[in-house]
Amino acid sequence: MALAKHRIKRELIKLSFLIPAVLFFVVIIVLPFVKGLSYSFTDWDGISESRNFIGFKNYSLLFQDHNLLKPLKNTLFFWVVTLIGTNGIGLMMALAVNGSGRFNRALRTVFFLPFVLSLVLVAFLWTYLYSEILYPYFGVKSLLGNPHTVMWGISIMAIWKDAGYCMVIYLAALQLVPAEYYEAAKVEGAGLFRRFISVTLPMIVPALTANITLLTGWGLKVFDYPMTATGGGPGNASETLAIYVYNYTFPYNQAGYGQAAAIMLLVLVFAITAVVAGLLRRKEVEM
Amino acid sequence: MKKNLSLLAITAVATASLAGCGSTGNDLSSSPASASSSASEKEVTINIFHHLGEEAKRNGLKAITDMTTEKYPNIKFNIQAIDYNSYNNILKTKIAAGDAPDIVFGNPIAYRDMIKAGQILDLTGESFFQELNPSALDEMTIDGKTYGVPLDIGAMGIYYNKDIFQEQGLQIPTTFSELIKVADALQAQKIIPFAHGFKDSWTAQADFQADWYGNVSKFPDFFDKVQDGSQKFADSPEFKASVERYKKRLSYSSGDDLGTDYAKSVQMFAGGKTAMLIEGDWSISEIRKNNPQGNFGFFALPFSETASDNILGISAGDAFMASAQTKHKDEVLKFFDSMNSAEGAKAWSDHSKTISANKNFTISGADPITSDIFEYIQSSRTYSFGKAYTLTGQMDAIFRKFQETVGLDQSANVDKLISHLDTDISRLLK
Repeated sequence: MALAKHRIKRELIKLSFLIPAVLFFVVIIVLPFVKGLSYSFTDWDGISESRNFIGFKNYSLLFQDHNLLKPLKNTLFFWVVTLIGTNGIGLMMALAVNGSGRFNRALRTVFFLPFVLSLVLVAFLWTYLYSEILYPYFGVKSLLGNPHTVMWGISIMAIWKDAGYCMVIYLAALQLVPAEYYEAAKVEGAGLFRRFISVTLPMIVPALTANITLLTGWGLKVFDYPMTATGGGPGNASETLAIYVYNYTFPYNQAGYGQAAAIMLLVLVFAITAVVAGLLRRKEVEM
Repeated sequence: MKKNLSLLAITAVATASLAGCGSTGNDLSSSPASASSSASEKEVTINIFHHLGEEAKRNGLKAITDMTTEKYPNIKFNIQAIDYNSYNNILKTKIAAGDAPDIVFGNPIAYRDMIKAGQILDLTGESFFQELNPSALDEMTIDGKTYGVPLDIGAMGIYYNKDIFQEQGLQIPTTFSELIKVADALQAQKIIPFAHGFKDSWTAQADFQADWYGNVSKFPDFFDKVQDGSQKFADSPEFKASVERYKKRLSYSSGDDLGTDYAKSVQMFAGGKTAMLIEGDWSISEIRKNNPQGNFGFFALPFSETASDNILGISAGDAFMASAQTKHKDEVLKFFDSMNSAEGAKAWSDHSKTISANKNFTISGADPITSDIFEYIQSSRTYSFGKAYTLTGQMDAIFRKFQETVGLDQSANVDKLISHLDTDISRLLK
């Protein structure tokens, strides 16, 4: 009995350590979310003190808006391209600098450097690169100006910046793969490619899960890259769902409608992330 | 809302009477006297918000504020320049937070939503308005109340390089087909006709508006009708024709049109690399910054095939308004007073090279480009479009996005985009 009491006390002490984090989460995430949810059923303009309850009108208008398709398409495009590109390049860089030499360590720093840069600087750098270097010296017209290529231009920028981050996570996983496994595989006659598929890949699935989930979250919520590089333009060619939400909430003075769009975006991000993470976790357990 | 406003008014009156030593705060002629009599008067900092992109205009503003501080040493200024693209958002946020700047850059016509919300101070009847050009003043007046103080009169049209035109034996085109002939002739000589800097998306809008605003003179209530739903863009053949002409002009490439920014396109024109540039009057100072001595001129964009139809669309250009939240109305009015004084107006037009909204403005000593614009005004070959374009907020944003989409994508289907534009506008009318 006394033992059980002691155990409960210990558990409570452990739980109490969660309080600061939970408090932050509630104040910064849960409360605004609940409040936002209630705004989404009103015609609030974002400035006035009064607002009227209008039921599901915002949601029904949202699903009738043909302008929603472009941001939806752009967001999914950005997600898929950066997910594949950032992970692929990040993994390749990790494999390339996996050794312990001084040169490898220097390269790691270089590869990680873009991630540390401010996003505004990155956007400036790339717009400069696109219009002042690529066109005058190589005759390649700026990807960011053409409505048909602008999402590619933004994706390349994002991959360049974020690949270093993925590399670090892959690197950590790669260093944990015991060297004996490779030796054993070598003895068995496995080539470089075979060893990657049969030894390396299964061993780094946890890193893969982390990176893919992370990139999915970033990709679906993307706001900053198109906002800083093009402001969603030309026209609305690089508008993403998050920019759509922003446009309605602030410049267009339709905060109620913007909130409805934000809630839909949240549901979408949550659903896709849950499915992706679920699929990957199953893979982890299997091995 | 109403309650808040009256509270605000009471606060404003209370502070005004405190600061002005019992003066009512509106009588400007007595203010300087009271200012000098109490040298120990409390120092006041006036916040000014603007999105002037041109260095010359920023210097012009600085000159006016310095002039004011010199006359009234207790008035200091805190000038904040905001990027045009985020200006309205930042301003709205500031106003919503009760932290509005005292003086706000902008033309009342574009801020009717804020005026309706009671956020802009009514300046009707202030003495400095007597110094202003009546038509510019008329544009600052909404429902009989004057909300803005204009600095200059602006226009959009075509800058041209007189030397290139002379070498090629070209005349100023008076009709649209003549303009196209000129562009073709230049291109045949491997001279780029127009400098395009569409990386900044608003630059393409200037090209479109230089054409369309001249057109609007024939249907001044076009945008009012758009807003009450009785005018569809698709039902206006003139609108479609204007869009088609716009696309035609944009089809003359000057290189990487969509990767070149505004500043570089002005450099291209000022450096003699292109023969023409379609832009607004705000570019004069930028052109002169790059080439002070260049032999340049300006003409109205010929949109019609009838030469006499091709008048210049003009409007009040740069203007300032006062925030209703200001606690320093007296000082704000003093700023406007020096802005409209003969020296203030001269400082502005000297820096910005624009046509002053001050009615005593004379062309002597002005830039040849400015003189070309002024000639249209003096010979009454102008149409004042300022009051005709009445879209604000989201409608304005939709219309501007349309201009970018239809212009920057040469393969875009004009009819489809115009019908999309109508759909988007009608969604907002519901």
